[in-house]
Amino acid sequence: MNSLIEDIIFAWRSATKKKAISLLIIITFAMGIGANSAIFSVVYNVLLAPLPYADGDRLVRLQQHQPKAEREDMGSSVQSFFDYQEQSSALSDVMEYHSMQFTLYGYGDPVRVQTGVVSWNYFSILGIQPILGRVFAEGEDDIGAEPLIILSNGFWLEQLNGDQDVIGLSLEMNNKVHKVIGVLPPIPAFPDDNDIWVSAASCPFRVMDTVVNNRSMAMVKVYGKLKEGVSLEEGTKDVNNIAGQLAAQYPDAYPEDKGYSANLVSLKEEMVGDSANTFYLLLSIAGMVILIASANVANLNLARLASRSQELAIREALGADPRRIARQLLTESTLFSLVGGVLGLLMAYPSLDLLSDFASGYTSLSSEVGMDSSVLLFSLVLSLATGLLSGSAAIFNRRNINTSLKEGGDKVTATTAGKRLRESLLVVQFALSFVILTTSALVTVSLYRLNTQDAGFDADKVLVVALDLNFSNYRTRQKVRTFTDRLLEDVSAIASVDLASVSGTFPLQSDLVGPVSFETEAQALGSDDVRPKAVVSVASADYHKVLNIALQQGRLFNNRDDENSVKVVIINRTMAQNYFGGSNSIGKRISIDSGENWFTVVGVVADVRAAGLDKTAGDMFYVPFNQRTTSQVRLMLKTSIDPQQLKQQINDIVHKLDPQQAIASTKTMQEVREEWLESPRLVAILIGLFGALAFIITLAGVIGVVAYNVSLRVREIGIRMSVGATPDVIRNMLLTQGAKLTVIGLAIGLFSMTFITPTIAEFLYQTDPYDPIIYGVCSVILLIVSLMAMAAPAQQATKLNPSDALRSE
Amino acid sequence: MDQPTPLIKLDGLCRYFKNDNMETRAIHELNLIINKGEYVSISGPSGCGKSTLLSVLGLLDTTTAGHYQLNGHQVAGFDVYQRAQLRNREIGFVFQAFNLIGDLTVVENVELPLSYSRVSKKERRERAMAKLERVNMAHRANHFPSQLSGGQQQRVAVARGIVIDPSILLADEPTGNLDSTNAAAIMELLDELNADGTTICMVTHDERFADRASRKVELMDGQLVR
Ligand SMILES: Nc1ncnc2c1ncn2[C@@H]1O[C@H](COP(=O)(O)OP(=O)(O)OP(=O)(O)O)[C@@H](O)[C@H]1O
Ligand SMILES: [Mg+2]
Repeated sequence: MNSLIEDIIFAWRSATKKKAISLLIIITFAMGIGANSAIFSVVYNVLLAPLPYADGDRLVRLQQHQPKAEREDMGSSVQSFFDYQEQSSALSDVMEYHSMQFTLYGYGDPVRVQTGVVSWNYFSILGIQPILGRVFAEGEDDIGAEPLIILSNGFWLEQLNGDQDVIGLSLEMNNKVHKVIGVLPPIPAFPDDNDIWVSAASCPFRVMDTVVNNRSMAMVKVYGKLKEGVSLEEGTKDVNNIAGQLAAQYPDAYPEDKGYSANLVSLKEEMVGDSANTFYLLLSIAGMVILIASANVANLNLARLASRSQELAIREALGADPRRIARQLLTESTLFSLVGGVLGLLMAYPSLDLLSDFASGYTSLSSEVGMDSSVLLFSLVLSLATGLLSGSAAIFNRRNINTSLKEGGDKVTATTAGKRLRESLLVVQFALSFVILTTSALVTVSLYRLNTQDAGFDADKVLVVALDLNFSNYRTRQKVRTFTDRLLEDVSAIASVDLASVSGTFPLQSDLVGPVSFETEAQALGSDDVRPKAVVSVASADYHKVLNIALQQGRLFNNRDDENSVKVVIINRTMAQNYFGGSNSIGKRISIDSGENWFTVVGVVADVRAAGLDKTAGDMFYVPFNQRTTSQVRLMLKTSIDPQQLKQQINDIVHKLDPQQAIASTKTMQEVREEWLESPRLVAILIGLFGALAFIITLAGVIGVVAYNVSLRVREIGIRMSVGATPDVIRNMLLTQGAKLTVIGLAIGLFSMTFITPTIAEFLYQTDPYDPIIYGVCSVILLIVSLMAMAAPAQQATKLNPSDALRSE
Repeated sequence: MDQPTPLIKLDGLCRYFKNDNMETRAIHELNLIINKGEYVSISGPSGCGKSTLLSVLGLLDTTTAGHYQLNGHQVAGFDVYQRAQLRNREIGFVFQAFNLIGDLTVVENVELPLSYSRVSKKERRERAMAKLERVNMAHRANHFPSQLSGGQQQRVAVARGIVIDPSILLADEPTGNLDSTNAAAIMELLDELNADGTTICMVTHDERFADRASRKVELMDGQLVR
C-alpha cells in the first residue's frame, strides 16, 4: 500500500513537472470521457434502464386489431376494457387511458389543458408516488364520483408556481368544480404530455351512455401488468382468447368480415420507440472518440518513455523491479484518466438538457436522461479502462536493458524502439478519424439533400391549425360542414389571409392516416380481388392553391363540389402514371367502396412528399371536403404577412366559434417542415461534433507525436546533415514518413467503413454510403490537415545547426 | 606536380560563440593550409577549439569572420543547400561518438551519404559493400549498430566516412572511445587510407597517434601554436 502511495506521489510530481503534456493528456481524456458519459446517459436511461415504474418489465399495452379490414391498433371500447379487466388470467391489473383537451378555469386566464383520463388504479399500478397529496383511490372513477384533479409536475411548477398549498384548490372544468388532490413527480411524457390528470368519471364523453355502452367506440388505450412469471406470449394468447370470445358474443360490434384480434406489446418497447439505432450509432461514434483519445495518450506516454529509456535502464540495471516501473506508469496514466473523467463529467453535465431535448424527438423516456449512479459508474469504469489501456502500451514497449544502455552510451542514436508501436497507434487514430469524419460528412450531405428536397408544395407563409372535432358535438356531416364553412368564412375575412382551406391531412403531418383500398373502373375487379392502395386526403376548394401544388391536368376543386354534385377526385401524378398511363386520366373513375360509389377524376396535380421529405410520393388522391367529411380538420391559410403573427387571432376565432373545441396545434408550415428536419439535423450535429472532437484529438496527437519524434531524432538529423542531407531532404523525409502513416490509416479507415456503412445507410437520404467524392474529399482533408500538423515540427528540424545537433543528447 | 595543391585554405578565420552576453572565441584569426594527400593531426588542450575547427572545415558550422576556401570554392557565401551539397561531395566524417543511426543496418548506415546524391540503389549498395570490405566489416552488413562492439562500430563509421571518396576525411578523436587495441586498428586503417591518397585531418589527444601524421598542428585558445 505504501508503495502505491509513493507511486501516486511520484506520478503527481512528474505530472506537475511536465505541465503541458499532462494538461494535454487530461484534456484529451476529459473530452473523450465527457462525450461518452453524455451519450451513455441517454443510451442507459432510454434503452437499458428498467422503466421508471414499479415492475416496469411486466407492464404492457393491449392492442386490438381488425385484421381483415387491415385496421391495426385501433384502440379499445370502455366495455372491452372492462371485459379484459374481469376476464384476463394473465394480467394482474388492467388500466384504461385516454387524453383530451379541456379548458380549465379557476385561477388566472382560462387555459387549455391536455388532460390524461385514467382508471383509478393507473398511478398506483405504475407505482407513481405523488409529491403532494394523493393519487386516485378505488371507486373514484365510478360514474358520478366527485370530480378530482391531479396536477402534473410541470403544470404545477409553471402555472401554479409550485404552490405548496395547492391541495384542495377548486378548479372549474367542463362546467364542474374539480378538487385538486395531488401533484405528481416528474414522469415521462407518456402516453402523452399531459398537464393534468382526471379519473374516468370526470371526462364528459367517457361518462356518456352512448360511449360507455358502445363497443365500436374505441376511445381508450388499455394498459396492464402481467402476473409474475407470465410471459408476453402467454399474455397475448390470453387476451386474444378473450377477443375471440367477445367477437362470438357480440357479432354486431365485431363483424366477422373485419376480424377481431388482440395482443400485448411490452411497454418498454413502446416507450423506447425506434430510437435505438440512432443512439447506438452515436454511442459507437463516441466510443471511437475515446479510442482515439486513448491511443493518443498511449502515444504521448510512449514518447515520454522513449526519452526516459536510458534512465529506466540504469534504474533496472541497479536493481529496480521492472514491474514497479510499469506500475508507476499505469498509476500515472490512471491518475490522469480519473482527473480527466471528473472534468469530462463536469463538461457533460450541462449538455444533458440538450441531449434530453434531442432524445424527446424519439422517445418519451427522454425525461429520464440524467447523471445517475449508473452513468457515474460507467464513467468511472471508462476512466479506469482508458487509463489502464493507455498506460499499458508502455509495458508492451519494454525493451532490453542492455540495448538501452549500449545506445545510451551515445555512440549510436537510440533506435526508436517503440517507434513501430507509436506509429501503429497513430495509424489507428487516423483510421478512426477517417471513419468519423466520413460518417459525419455523409450524414451532413444527406441532411443538406433533405433540407433542399423539393417536397412538391410551398411552405412559405402557410399556417396550419389542427382541430380534432369533438365527435359528440359533430356527429353528422352537416354539423361538421356548418362549422368548417363558418370557420373558412371568418378566417377569410382577415385582410392578411389570401386563401383558406380545410382538409383531413397536410403534408409532413406526423399522424398521417393510412392508405385506403381503391379500384379503377377499368380494372373491373371482382369482390374477392385484392385492391391496390393509395393515400387519400379530403380537401376543400383552395387546398392545392394554399400549398401551391401545381395542377397538371384538368381542374382543381371548387365550392360546387359537394354532396349534391357528382363525386369527383383529384389524383397525383404518380397515380395518373400508374393507373391511367399518365396523360388521359380525366374522366376516368375510381371507387373506394368496392364499386358502390364512383368518383370521377377531374384533375391531376403534382406529387407531394406527404409522408416525409425522404419518401417519394406514392399513389395519392384528394376527395372534396364536402363529399367525404372528416372530424380531423386541418385549417390551412395562405397569408400575406408572417403567419406567426396570425396564430393568436386564428385561435381566438376557433374559440369563439366553439369554446368547447380544443385546438390540437397551430403551426406554420415552415415549423412543420423544421420539426420534421429536427431529428436528422440533431443527429448530424452530434456526429459532426464528435467528428470535430476526434479530429482535434487526432491532430493534437499528430502534432505531439511528430514533434516528439523530431526531438528524439535531433542527433540522427544532425548525422544525416553531416553526410550531406539538405534541409529539404530532412523535411521531406519527416513529411513522407508522416504521410505514409496517414495513408495507411486512411486505407484501414476505408476498409473499416465497409463494416459500418450498412448501419449508416439507414440514416442517409439520397446519399450513396460509398459516395466516392465524399470519401475522396475526406481523405484529402485528413491528409492535408495532418501534413499541415506535421509541417511545423518538420520545418523546425530543418533549422537545426548540424554541429549543435550532433552535440545533443 | 612538385608544387603541392592546397585543398583547404583558411585565412584569418574566426568562430565566436555568444551566450548570455559572454563571447567565446573558439577560433580566432586562424590561418591554415592543408594540401591534397596530406595527413594533418590537430592537438591541443581541451576547449582550445579543435572540434569547432573541424566543424567549420566540414561545413557543419558557419564562420564569424575570415575566408575559407575548399577545393577552389569560396565557402563563405554558400547557403545551406550549397553547403550540404559540398559536404556530400567533398567531405567525410568520423566522430568520437561513432554516430551511427540505430534504426539503420550497418550497410544502410554506410549508404546514407550516397542516398543524398544521385546514385542508383544498386551502385549505392555496391560501393557501400566495397567500403565495408575495405574496413573488414562486410560480414556484419545486415546487423544493427547496437549489435556491434565499439571498435566494429567505429570501423563502420570510417566506411561511411569514405564511401563518397571524399576530398578530405575529418576525424574528431576517432579513438577517444576505444581501447588501445581497437584504437591501434583504427589508426592503422587511417594510415592505409592516406597511403591510398585520402587527405586526412584528425583531431587527437594522443601524442603517439599525432606522430603518425605527416604534419602536426597544435591549437591553443583558438589559434595555431605552430
Ligand atoms: N555551440 C557552442 N556554443 C557556445 N560555446 C561553444 C559552442 N561550441 C563550442 N563552444 C566553446 O568553444 C570552445 C571550443 O570548443 P571545442 O568543442 O572546439 O573544444 P575542443 O578543443 O574540441 O575540446 P575537447 O578536447 O574537450 O573536445 C569551448 O570553450 C567551448 O565551450
Ligand atoms: Mg572536441
